[in-house]
Amino acid sequence: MIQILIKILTIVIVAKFISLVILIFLPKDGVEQSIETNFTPKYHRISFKNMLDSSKYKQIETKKTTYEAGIVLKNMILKGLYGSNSNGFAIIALKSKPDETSIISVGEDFQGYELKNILKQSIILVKNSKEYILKIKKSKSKDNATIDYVKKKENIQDIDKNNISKKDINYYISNPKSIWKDISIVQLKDKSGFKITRIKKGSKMDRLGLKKGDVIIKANNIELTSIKNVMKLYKNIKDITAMEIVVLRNNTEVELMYEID
Amino acid sequence: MVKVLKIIGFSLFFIASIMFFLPKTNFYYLVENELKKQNIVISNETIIESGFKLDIKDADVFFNSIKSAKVKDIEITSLLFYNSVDITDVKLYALAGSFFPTKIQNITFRYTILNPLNININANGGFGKAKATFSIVDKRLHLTINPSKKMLKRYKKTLRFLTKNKDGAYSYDTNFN
Repeated sequence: MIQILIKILTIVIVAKFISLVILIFLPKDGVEQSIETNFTPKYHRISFKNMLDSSKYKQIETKKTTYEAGIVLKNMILKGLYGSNSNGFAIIALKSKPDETSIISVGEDFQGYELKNILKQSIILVKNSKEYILKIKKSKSKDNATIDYVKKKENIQDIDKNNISKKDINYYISNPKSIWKDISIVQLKDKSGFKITRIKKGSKMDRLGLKKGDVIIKANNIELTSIKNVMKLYKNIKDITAMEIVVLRNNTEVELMYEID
Repeated sequence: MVKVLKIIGFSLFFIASIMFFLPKTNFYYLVENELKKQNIVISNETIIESGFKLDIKDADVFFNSIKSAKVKDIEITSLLFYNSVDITDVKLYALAGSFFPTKIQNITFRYTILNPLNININANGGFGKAKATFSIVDKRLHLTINPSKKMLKRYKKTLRFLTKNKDGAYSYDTNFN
C-alpha cells in the first residue's frame, strides 16, 4: 500500500515538474488591445477663430488639396466603410459586378489598388504611387446597414450657438452641487452609461442640447461605464478645450460637440 | 495481467496529473499571441483557471483594432481524450451585423479520441443552427446551416455564398491548406 502511495506521489511530482518546465517556454503575458484614453475629442471642430490663425489654416488647406488632387475612380463602387484613417475596412465592388463585394482593410490590395486611408465619406487608394479617391455610393435602400451605420456615426448635432464658456465650467467646478440642481442622472444597471432622469428647463445643461431620457455613453473618448471614469473626466475638465458627448437617443447614437471658449 | 492493469492505471494517472498541472493560462496567452499575428486580439477578459478547465469571461474581440464581438463566456476543458471549447453568448458588432444576425447563443467545439481525425462544431443563434466538421488531416471544413426565418428573410445575400441542399439546409466547404 505504501509502495503504491509512493509511486502516486512520484507521478504527481514528476507531472508537476514537467508542467513547470513547459511553463518556462510559454508566454507570461497575454495580448491586450490598447485603447488610448485621453481627454481630447477624436477631432476638433474648426471655428472661425481658428481659421484666422494663418498657420492652422494653411495646414488644413494643404491636406484638403492633396485629397482633391486624387483621380476619381469610376470603375469601382464603394458600398460601405468602417473606421477612420489607417484603421478600418472598405466594402468595394466593381461596377461590372456590383453584387460581388470585397472587404478590404487598410494596407490590402483590390484590383491592384492599395487601400491607404479611410475618410468620412470616401477612401484613398494608391496605385503606382498615384492617389485615387473613391466616394461612397449613395443608396436609398434602407437595408444597407453599413451605410446606415456610417450615417449614424456622422449624426453630429450642431450646437454652434451653445458653446460652453470657461466661466460656466469654473462655476460648476466651484459649485459642484449646482450641477445636480440642473440635471439628475442615474447609472444604468448594465453600467453602459448614465441616463438623464431630469433636466431643468432653461438651464445651461438644457441649452447644451441634452434631453430627458438621453443615455450619456461617452465623453471625450472616455466610456462612462463607472463613476470613476466620470470623476476622471471631471478632474481634467479644466484643461480641455473641446467637449464631445455621445448620447443614446431613441436607440440612436448622437454626438454633441462643444467648444470651450 | 495485474501488472498490465497497474501500468495502464499509473499511465492514466500520470496523464491526468499532467493535464491538471499544465499552465492553462499560459497556453491561453500562447493562443492569444498566435491570434495577434492574424490581427485578432482578445481583450478585457477575466481568466479563471481551475483543475481541468479554463474559463474566460467577458472578452472583447478586436479585429484590425476594431471591436468586433463581445463574448460572455468561453469554457475550455482538456482531458487529453476529450477536449471541448464552449463559447456562450456572443454579440457581434456593427460590421458583422451587415452580413449576419448579431447574436450567437453558443458555439461548441468537441474533440474526442473516439473520432480522432475530426473536430465537431455545433452552433446556434439568430442565424439558426449550424453543424460543422473540421478534418484535421485534410484541413477541410464542412459546414451545414439550417437557417432561421430571420436569416432567410434579411440575410439572403450571405446565403448566396452557400450551397442550398435538397432538405432546405445550406452547406459550405472550405480548405485551410
